[in-house]
Amino acid sequence: MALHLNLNHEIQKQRRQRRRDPLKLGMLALLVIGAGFFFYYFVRLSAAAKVTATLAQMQAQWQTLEPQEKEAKAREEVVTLAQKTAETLIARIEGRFYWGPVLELVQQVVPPEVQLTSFEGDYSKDLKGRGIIRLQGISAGPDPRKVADDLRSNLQAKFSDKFNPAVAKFGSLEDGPKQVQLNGKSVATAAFNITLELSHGETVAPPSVPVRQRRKIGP
Amino acid sequence: MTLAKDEVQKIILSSLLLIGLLYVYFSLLLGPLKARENRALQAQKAIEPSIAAAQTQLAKVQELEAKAPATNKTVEQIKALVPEGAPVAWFPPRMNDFFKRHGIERCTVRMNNEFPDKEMPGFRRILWAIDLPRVEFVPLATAIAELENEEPLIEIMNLRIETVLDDPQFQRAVLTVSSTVPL
Repeated sequence: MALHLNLNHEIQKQRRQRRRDPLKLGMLALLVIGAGFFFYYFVRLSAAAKVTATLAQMQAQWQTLEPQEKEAKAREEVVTLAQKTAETLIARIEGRFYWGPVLELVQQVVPPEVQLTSFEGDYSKDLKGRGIIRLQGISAGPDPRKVADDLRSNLQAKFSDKFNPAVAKFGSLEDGPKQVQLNGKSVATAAFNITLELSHGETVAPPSVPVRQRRKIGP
Repeated sequence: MTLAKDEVQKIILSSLLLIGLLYVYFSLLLGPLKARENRALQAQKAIEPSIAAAQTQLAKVQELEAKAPATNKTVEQIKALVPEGAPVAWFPPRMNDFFKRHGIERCTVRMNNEFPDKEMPGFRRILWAIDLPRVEFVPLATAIAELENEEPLIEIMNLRIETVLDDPQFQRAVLTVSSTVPL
């Protein structure tokens, strides 16, 4: 066996020492960790940039929307006011108290034995949606008080169909001083004063034209 | 394996460098980045409801405005019924003409009161007294019914019909009328 001399052992030893140099190994480890951190930092940076970009986009959107919102609020007030005005106007028109049907009913109810001398009708918001009609007149017949009372009850019945409830009350009912001729006979008279209260609900009687028929209001 | 003195020194130096690196990384790089991201997220959370509210408001107004033409058309149609000018100039002749068309020749109209309409900004109410000194009941009732049909802005508040003593054929009628007119 030939003698083998290693004359490079010193060089090899130095090389081994360099290979396991802690500083070098540490630097390598630091480099690896640093690279990982660097990568993670860029991942986070990218995420943060996305969030910032979204925020910038939202701020830009808000800057556009804010004046539009202010303008919209102002427009809303105007439009709402106009709408409310229109609704009130339409409700007022549709909720009017119509006197045409009232006069038609009065004309239908008053018999030939009765002459009205005065008709007064009131309807206003002060009356809280009620119509008040005051009728004055003279009834004639063998029993003029009954004629007047029949008129009162007929008024109440007829008007209750359209204005539920309608209440007719006598303000006064007195015997008349004179006798009058009715159908060729001399009959007694009574002077009456009837108040008719009508409720004006949501259902409004449509206006109609009274039937042409002669009915006098007069003594 | 025992470490030589210089190797121990190098390990300590490497460790110090690692600590330094960690400090720099977390305190100077990652920390501010995270803080900035959090601030942006908070700002987003703060602005989101405002944007949503603004979008809702815009949608609401658009919806209102979509309905507005129909409403405006109705109001414009109603306003078109009212002539230009002062009501005291056009209302009495208009009533005179109306009653003449219904065979009632004598008609006196005067303005009693005028006040702004509290329920409807931009409108006012005027109270008129219409005196018909010589009318018959049926033509009067017909005229009143047609007046109520033709003039939607008019409402009769009070109606008084009385006999005319010297002429029992006729009555005298006085109407208190409220009319709604634009300001």
